[in-house]
Amino acid sequence: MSHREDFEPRETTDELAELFAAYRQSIPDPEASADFMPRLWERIEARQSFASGFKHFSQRIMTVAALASFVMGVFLAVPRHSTSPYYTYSYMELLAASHGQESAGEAEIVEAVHEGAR
Amino acid sequence: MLVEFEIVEQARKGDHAAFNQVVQAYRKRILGTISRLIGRPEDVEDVGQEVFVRLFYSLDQLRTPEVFEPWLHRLTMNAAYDYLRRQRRRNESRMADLSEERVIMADAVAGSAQHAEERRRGGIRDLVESLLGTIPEQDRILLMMKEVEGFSLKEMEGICGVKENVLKVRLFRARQRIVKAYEQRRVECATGAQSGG
Repeated sequence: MSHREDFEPRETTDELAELFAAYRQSIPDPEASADFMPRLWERIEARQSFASGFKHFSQRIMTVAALASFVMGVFLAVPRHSTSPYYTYSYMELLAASHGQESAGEAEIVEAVHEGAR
Repeated sequence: MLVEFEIVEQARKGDHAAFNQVVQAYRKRILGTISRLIGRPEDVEDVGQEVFVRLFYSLDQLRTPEVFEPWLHRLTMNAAYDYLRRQRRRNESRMADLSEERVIMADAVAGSAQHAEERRRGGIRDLVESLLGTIPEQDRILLMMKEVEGFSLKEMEGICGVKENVLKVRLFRARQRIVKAYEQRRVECATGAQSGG
């Protein structure tokens, strides 16, 4: 006994098989229309031109992106001279300077607190 | 194979005349399969062309000509599946159109000698399509390939790239749902006949 017959009534199984066979016969293989091949080639060419257009577009984008990266790289790599004192110090120097100022401020506060306590 | 391996090989290498030969050899069979898979004669050529467009663009991936036929059937199943999924989205409006079309077609053949036969065939198509509407598109295609197109499980394994056991389970479940829908339909018909008579 087949797997199918274990669960389905035989009558229904047979009827379904007949129904599917009748369905197969009711829709024979159709003949293609006369313009099947020309339309097929039109679709192939349309997709080809879309694909090549997309390829060109993405190539252009890639070129522009590469150029922009190069320009940005040059811009960042070339050292710039500025008269502003802000740019003449390195980050560490600025940090040390601001720490020195903060420390002086803190010392004044501590002194004032001590005097108040006395 | 409906064409020589060499023709497929030439088409694979970009020979357009060879590709035309391949299409002409297979198109009737592919259009037949599509028409039974999708059940809409007006869209069969469109889906068929989509299959051959996909074939054209994927031929260079074909490793050996021996697997050409299973591969073409796989493209057919995929295109039919895509079509059915698109159709499901606009199903309700199309169902109304379909009923109208069927009425017009039925009117057109009415009075001719083929009237009774066409009505019987139309009834079978309607019944099978309504039963297939109760299962997911993926299962519908598997069931049609097995029951209507007559592919063996082994062949379907090659076409779908899925293990035979997995296919068996899916087919079993799909068939169960079809049986259930069929029996329900039979009960409805019997009830309708009793209340009518």
